[in-house]
Amino acid sequence: MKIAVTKFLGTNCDLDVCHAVKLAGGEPELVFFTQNNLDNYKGAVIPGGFSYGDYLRAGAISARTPIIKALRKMVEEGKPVLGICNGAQIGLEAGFSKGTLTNNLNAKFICKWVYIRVENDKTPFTQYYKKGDVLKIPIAHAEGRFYADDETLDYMYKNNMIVFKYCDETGEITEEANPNGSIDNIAGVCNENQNCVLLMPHPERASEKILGSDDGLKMFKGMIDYAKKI
Amino acid sequence: MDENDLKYIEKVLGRKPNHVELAMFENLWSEHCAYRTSKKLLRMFAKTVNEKTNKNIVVGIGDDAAVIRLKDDICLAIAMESHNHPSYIDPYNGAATGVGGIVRDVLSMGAKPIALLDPLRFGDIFGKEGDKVRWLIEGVVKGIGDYGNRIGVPTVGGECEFDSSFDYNNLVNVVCVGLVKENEIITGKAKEAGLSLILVGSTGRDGIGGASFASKDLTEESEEERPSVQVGDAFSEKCLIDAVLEAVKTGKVKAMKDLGAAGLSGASSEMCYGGGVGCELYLENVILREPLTPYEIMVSESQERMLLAVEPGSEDEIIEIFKKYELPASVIGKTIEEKRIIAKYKGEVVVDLPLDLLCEAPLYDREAKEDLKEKEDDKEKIKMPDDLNAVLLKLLESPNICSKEWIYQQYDYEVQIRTVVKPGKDAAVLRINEVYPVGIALTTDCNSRYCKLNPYVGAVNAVAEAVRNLAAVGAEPIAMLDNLNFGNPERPERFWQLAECIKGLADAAEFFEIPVVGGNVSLYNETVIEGKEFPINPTPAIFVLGKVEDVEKVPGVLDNKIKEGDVLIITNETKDEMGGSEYYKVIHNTEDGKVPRVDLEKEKNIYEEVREVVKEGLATEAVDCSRGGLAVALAKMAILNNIGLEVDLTSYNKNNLREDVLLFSETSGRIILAVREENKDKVLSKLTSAYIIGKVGGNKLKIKINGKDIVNLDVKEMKKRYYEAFPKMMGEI
Repeated sequence: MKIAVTKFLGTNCDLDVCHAVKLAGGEPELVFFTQNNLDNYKGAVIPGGFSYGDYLRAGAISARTPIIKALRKMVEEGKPVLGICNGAQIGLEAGFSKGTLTNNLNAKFICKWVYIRVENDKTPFTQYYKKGDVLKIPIAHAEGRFYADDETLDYMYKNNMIVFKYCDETGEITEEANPNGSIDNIAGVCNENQNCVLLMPHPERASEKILGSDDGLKMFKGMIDYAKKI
Repeated sequence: MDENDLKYIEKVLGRKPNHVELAMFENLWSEHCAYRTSKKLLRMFAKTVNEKTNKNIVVGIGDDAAVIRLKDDICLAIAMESHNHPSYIDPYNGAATGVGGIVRDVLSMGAKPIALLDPLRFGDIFGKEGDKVRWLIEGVVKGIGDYGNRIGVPTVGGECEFDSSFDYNNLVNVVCVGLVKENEIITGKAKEAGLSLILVGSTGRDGIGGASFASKDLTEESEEERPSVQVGDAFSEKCLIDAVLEAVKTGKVKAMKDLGAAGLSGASSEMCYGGGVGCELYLENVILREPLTPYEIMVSESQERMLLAVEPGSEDEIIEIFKKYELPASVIGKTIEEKRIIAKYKGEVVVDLPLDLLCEAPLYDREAKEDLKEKEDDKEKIKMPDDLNAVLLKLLESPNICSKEWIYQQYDYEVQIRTVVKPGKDAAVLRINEVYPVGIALTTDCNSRYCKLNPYVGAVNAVAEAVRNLAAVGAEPIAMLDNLNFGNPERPERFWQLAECIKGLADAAEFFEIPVVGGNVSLYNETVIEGKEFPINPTPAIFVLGKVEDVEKVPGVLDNKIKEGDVLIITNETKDEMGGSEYYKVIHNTEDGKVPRVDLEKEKNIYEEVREVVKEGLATEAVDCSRGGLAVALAKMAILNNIGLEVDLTSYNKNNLREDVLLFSETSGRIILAVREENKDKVLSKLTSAYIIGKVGGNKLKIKINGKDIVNLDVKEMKKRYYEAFPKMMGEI
C-alpha cells in the first residue's frame, strides 16, 4: 500500500507524516517535487512546512511545480489525497477544492492545541469518525484563515465540502474557539468527490497519546483502508 | 586596529600585513572570535570535565558544537550562542540570523537539528524605554519564529527576563540541539592535506565586519552600523540542512564548518588550524551575488553558507547533491601540509599568513575590582501587605512571572513530533524514538538580578535552578553550556563580575557533576549615554541537557496526571532570603536582602531523590519554586492544570517567617510534588527533606496558616491574570 508523501523545497513535516502513515499501517514513500508521475501510488499526502519559504504566498510556487499535475490526476481518479497545513495551502492554490487561505486575523504565526469538529464523515479520511466528533489537534500556521465569498461558501455547503470546523472542548462552534478568524470556523475542506481533503491542523502531530492526542491517527487509517479498495 | 596588536603582527610576519590580511586580523582577533578577555577565565571550566563526568563526551570544547552520547550510538550535538548586538539594531534580522548560525553549528557536526531554545532579556517594559522594548520584543520573537518555523526545527523553550539594565542592550541567546549517530559525526577539523574545500551558498556584501562590530559598546551611533547586521534566508537554510545531511551520508565529507563570524577567513583558518594543516584558496571560484573584491570575499558574513572538506575525487558527487536543493556550491581550495592560509585571486597571492599567528590572538589580562551590591534588608521598612491575594495576583501578572504564551505560541514547538512536554513548564521534554523510552529534557536558566547583587552566588543559583528544573521531569543533567553576557570588561567592576560568575558556574557544575562542554562569551553589552554607563546585569545564561530514562513516567504525561485528592509535598525548608526577589522588586521596589544561598550538599541530595521519585512515575506533577517563591509555584501548578489546591503551611513554617516572606522568599532547593494519596508514604520514605503541605481539589488556591486563610483565589481569576498579562503589556488587549 504505497502512499506518496510529497517533498517540495522547504517542506518540513514530510518525515512526521511518513511516521504517522506507517503507524496507520501504510507504506509511505518520499517523492520529490520534480516527479511528474504518481501512478504507482494509491494515495498521496502533501505535508506541511514552508515550501519555497512561503515567500510569495503560501503554496503559490509549489502549486506550479511538476508534481502538481500528477497530484491532480490522482484527485481526478478518485484516489485519496490529503493536504495538511502548507499542503492544504498548496492544494487550494492548485484548485483541488474551493476558497482560499490567508493571513491569520492577528497577523501572527500561531502554534496551539485546538479542537475541531467533524462536519463530514463521508470522506476517506473521516470515515472512522462520526459527524459531530471532537478531535484534539494542534495548529501551526501564519496563513490559515479560510475565506470564501458567500456564493462559493453556499456551493461548498451544498456539496458537503466542509469537513472540519474549529470548536471548543464540548463541540460548540464559538468565536473564542476560532484561532485564526476563519469564516464559519472552517478548519478543513474537500472537493466535490470527497476524496481530497485539505486541512490546516496537523493530524500527524496528534497520532500518538505520548504527544498529547491520538485523535488524528484515524485520518490516516481511513485513508489507507480506502486506498486498499481502489 | 589596536596599535600594539599591529606592532606584534608586523614583528612576527616580518612585514606589514596588506589590507586584506589586516581585515582578517581585525575580525579574527576581535573579542567575539578570539575570547581575548575571557579565555584565561574559561579555563576554570576544565575541572568540570573529569573522570566522573567525561564518559559520554564524544566531542568536547573547541568545535562548532559539543557532542554528548545519550544511549548506545545515539548522540546529541549542542551549541549555544548570542546575537545580542545585531538584535538591538535590527531585532528581526538579528534574531533570525542568530537562529541560523547556531543551527549551522549543530549541522556542521553532521547532526540533524531537533530543538531550539531562546533565552531572551529585555529592558523595563513599563519604563521610559517601554515602547522601544515592545518594538524589540515584536521583532526578536518574529525573527526567531519566522526562521525556526521555516527550517522546521521546533523552538521548545527559553526564558524571557525583564530588567531596566537591558534598556539599551537586549540579550538574544539561542541554543540548538541536534541528533547524530556516533559513527556519523563530522568535526570542524580538517586533519589531512589534499582535501578539496567546497563552499556552499552564495557570497554577498552583507555583514561585513560583523565580528568586530559585536566586540565593542553599542553607542548612539550604532544605528549607522546596520549594514553590519546580516540578513537571513530561512528557506536557503532549510535546503542547506536537507542537502548537508544527504551529503554527510556519502561518507566523503571529512570536515565541515559553518561560515559565521569573520566569514570565509574564520571558517577556513579555524578548520585547518584545528586539524593541523593549512589551506590554499582560489577566491575567483567563490560564487558571488554581486561583484566583490578579495577583501570583501574574505570577511563577508553572508548567511546560510557552509565550508566542507571532502575527499579528492568526490567533488562532483557532493556538488550534485547541493544542486538538487538548488544551492550554489563550488570547489574553492584545498588543504595543504604547510600550516598557512594562502588565498589567491586570479593567480595573485592576496593573503599569505601563518595560521598560528592568525588563530592565536594575544590574550588580555584585565583588572578586576569587587563590586558586591548585595545588602541587608530592613524588615521594619518593608511593610507587611494587608491583602496577600492582591499581592499574588500582581506577581502573577508581573513581566518576569506571567505566562510567556504570547511568545512561544509564535514558535512551532511541535514539528518533528518529539515534544512530549511543551513550552510553559520548567523544562521541555523530547522523546528520542531511536532509544525509546529514553528522552531528553532541556532547560535554560539565569536570574540576572541575583548575579548583579552577588555574581558568584547568582551563578551558582543558575546551575541549581537548572538541575532542579530537570529533577522535576526526572532528568539527570548530562552536559552544560554557558552563554556569558556581560558589560564592558575594560571596566574592572565588570571584569570582576565575569570572573565571579565563571567561578560560580564552574564550582556548581563540578559539584553537580555536569561537564561544561561549550558556550559563548558576549561582552561590551554596555552603553554610555552622556557620560553615564549603562551596563547590563551580569547574565551567565546556561543551558543544561538532561537525560530522561522513561518519558512515559514524566509528570503530566499519558495518564500520569494530577487529580483531585493528590497530596502536595514540598522539599527543603523556606528561609528568609529576599534579596533580588520578584516580590521585593514588584511590590516594594527594592533589591535589598540576602540572595538565596545554595546548600550544594543538601540540594544535590534533594534533586537526586526527587529524580528517583519522578522516574518511578510517582509524581503526577512537579513544580520548581523559584521566582515568586512558594505562592507563585503553587499558583502556577493550579493554573497549568486548571485545578484547585488546599494548602496549610502551619507546621511547615518552622523558621517562623513573616507570612509574606514565607510565601514569596525564593529559597533554593524547593520542588512541589503532587502524588497519589496511596503513594504518599512511599514517596516520603524516599525524600529526606520533605513536608506534606496540602492536597489537590476544588477550584481555588487556598493557603492557610495558623487557622487563617492568607490566600484564597479562584483558579479562573489567576489564569486570566497569568495569561492576559503579556498581551496587555504588548498593548494588544
